Amino acid sequence: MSDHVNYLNAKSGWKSWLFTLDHKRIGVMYLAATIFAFFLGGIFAMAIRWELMDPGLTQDGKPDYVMEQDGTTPILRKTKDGKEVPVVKGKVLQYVNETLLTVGDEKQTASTLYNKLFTLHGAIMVFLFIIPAIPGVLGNFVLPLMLGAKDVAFPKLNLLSFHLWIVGAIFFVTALVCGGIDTGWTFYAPYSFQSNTAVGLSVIGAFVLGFSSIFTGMNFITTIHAMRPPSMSWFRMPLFLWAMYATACIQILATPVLGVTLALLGFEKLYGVGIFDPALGGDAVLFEHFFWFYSHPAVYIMILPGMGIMSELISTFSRKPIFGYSFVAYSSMAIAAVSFIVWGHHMFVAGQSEYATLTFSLLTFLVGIPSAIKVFNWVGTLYKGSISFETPMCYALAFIGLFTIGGLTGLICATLSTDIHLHDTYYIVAHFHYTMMGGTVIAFLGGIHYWWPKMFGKMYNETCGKVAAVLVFIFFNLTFIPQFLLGHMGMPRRYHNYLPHFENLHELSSLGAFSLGMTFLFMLCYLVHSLKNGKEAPDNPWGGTTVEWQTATPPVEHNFVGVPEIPEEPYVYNVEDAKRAH
Amino acid sequence: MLELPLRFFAENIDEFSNNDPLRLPVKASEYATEVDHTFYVEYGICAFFGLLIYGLTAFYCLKYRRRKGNELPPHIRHNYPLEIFWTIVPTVICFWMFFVGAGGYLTVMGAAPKDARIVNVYGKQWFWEFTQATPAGATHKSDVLYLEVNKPVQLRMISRDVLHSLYMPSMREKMDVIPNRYTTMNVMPIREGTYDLYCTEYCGDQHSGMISKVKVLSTPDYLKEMENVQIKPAQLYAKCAACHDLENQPKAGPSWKGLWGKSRAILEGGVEKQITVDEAYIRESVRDPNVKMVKETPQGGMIAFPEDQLTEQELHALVLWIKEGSYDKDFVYDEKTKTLVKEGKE
Repeated sequence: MSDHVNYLNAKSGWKSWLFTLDHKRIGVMYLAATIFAFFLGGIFAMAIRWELMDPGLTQDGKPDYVMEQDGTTPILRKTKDGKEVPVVKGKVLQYVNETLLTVGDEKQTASTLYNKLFTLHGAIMVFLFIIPAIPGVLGNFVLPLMLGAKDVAFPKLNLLSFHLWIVGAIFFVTALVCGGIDTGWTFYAPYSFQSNTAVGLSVIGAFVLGFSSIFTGMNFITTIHAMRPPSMSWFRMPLFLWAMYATACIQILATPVLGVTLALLGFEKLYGVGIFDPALGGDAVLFEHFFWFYSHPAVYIMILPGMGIMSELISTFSRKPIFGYSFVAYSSMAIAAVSFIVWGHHMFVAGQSEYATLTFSLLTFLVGIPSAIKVFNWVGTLYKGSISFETPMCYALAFIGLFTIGGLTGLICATLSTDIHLHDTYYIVAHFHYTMMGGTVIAFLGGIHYWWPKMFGKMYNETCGKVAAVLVFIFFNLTFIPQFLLGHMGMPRRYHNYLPHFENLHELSSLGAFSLGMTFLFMLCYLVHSLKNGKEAPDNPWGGTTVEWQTATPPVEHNFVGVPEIPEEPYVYNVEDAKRAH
Repeated sequence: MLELPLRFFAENIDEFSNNDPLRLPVKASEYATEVDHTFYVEYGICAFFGLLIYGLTAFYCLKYRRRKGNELPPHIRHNYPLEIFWTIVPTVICFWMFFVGAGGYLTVMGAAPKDARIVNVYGKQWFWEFTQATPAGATHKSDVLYLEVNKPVQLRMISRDVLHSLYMPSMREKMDVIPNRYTTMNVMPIREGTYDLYCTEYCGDQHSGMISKVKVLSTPDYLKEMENVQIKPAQLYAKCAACHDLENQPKAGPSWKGLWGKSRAILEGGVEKQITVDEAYIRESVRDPNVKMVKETPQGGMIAFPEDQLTEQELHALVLWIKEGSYDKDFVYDEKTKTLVKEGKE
């Protein structure tokens, strides 16, 4: 730890962390919390890929028994209660279940367990990890520093937002311990009424987490409006702030709709008011409209902060201002605005009217335009730059590679005629993993590696960092390219058993997923190792020009000693820095 | 300009094999041809832009990597004509893609052709039921979707319970099946054969077991199949297969193997009783499964099958089939004698 008094060593004891009002400490707690959620969700992903290594069905759709050598008699095995049953290929989960995971007296079948796994994977990754990750961790830590401010506008609200995250997480973990939930993370009616799993707990959890997200958004909007230094006009803000601003707008406008939807769901479940359940006179498609009216903008809550990080990384490591600054800034706001009017593309085949479907298809294509502009501008920034390839830049390049695939395949999903074939197949699964994981998670990792020295005052091992970045890129593609191909062939989502002609691609995908999981463990190891044994980090290791690099590393409790110098233009690299950087 | 060579490519790529993961499945409907063209043309355009971005990124990273002399690159902030150019190009492409996709979409989802035959689709947890009027005026009912080649069909679909979605990859078509309203889908099969049919909207425990086949038959074969309106217990069993096994494989409900005549402990209104599995017990369990609960699994969970889903004759045929215990596929219910007979033996 550095010898100066900083935010990490100024106070000690768990209370000084859990009840701190310091945005930096809240950011660090969010980091620990979201990484926990990421690994929890990741374990479910591994279990899903494990089960999918074997089809479990024959070509006619019958259970695929393991045969004796004669090829006709099924091999028998004893169950827990002493019965002899034929062994079905690919029912790994059933075995696990019968030996380990009997909940009470109730035995679950492999399908039940699988349905819970993909639900928990989705729900934890979306609500506990990917929505809070970048705003909660990097937004909290970096945003006030970038503004040269002492803290966010409402420090207590900020702490409340983190506490609500914890409350939400407790609900989810309780739901998990109470036998899990099997509705899919979308809670689609009327199945969510029929399911006798812990739907209620999870719905309350998601509801609470919604407020956590709203409070973060309110805080960031106010902070950017009210605490921007007078010399920093809107178009002199670093692009990360533009992205966080756009994100915060979506958070406060869209998340209440999720709250309303989940509350209605709760009322219906508790009091039998007919809103969504056709059996009570409700309308199941209405739930889809309500749900996606939040959850589509939420997709941009996930990706916009990632795009903001990208702009910072590309600029710093090319030592050039972002090409077309105003286009990139406006495109963030454009994405935020358009994100509200495209939700219907989740429902192209859900029975909404043809005219609605046509309109939503056209509007969906509009999102492609600002996204394309951003990618072109990042590539344009590289032109004539002075590019160096430290770990964060490796992630930035991986982002361009993966997000491009995610974005372009999005066009094929937005095209109505092709979407009717690809909807709800593995093509969609691969597409959104390319944007959410190849986009947001990669940008998050890039951001973590970029601001890690500022957060903890330590450098991680650069070689380990680069190796991990390259491995993540390779294994990510190995996991998800086969899923595009499965989608072409018509493999539906959320199947634990499937016809045998999909088997090879599933195996390839599982292999990629396991390798990817190992890479993340490796990353965790060297990052944690650096906390104790890393080299002392200089104040500005990458030669960044945004204000947060002016303060000490790690920052002092009130962020700056004296008044920081706000640059007249963002991203101006000077000769002295250039000499030092070489 | 770009479209012509890509179209040529798209038309000729069809000559390759069937389960090739790089290609879409075999084309069995008129609509599939249209989708495939759009798909391959759009893939071509996306590949062009993808490779452009990859190529430029790689080229700049090599050419402008940091070395002596370029530590302070020129600060180029804007080039408005260029930026406007690369705003307009994706806009034009996006609009073009929209129109191509919308045109194809309307042929499936629009009004059915006048001479279209109507097939009713009933989606249930976790099986499909297809009914259509035969030329003789009877009702043909099956868990497999039978279509006549080159005859347009409109599927009129509704669900009994939760959301389902009917998906036929070879037709390139899918549509959700919803509990409280009809959804429709037009199919124009153009190639004989048996193709896969899935449920693609998550519908609960046995979602991945809700698969079946679509059989596109030549006109004589189709007409022959339409005469086949006998009650076959093996076909009815498809409705039960998700929860009941025939070979002691554990599923949500008890296996039917050796079930007949078995003595089992049940709870009726909380009172424990000993009963024998007979005709009356099975009938009651199908119509009203929660009256007599098996003691080991008191939580129940079976869904009732009322008359409109399983007629009295069908139920009787199933009961006889369970009683017979050999689970032979060839048994047919003879309505006159009310017994099971082997098919082909009058």
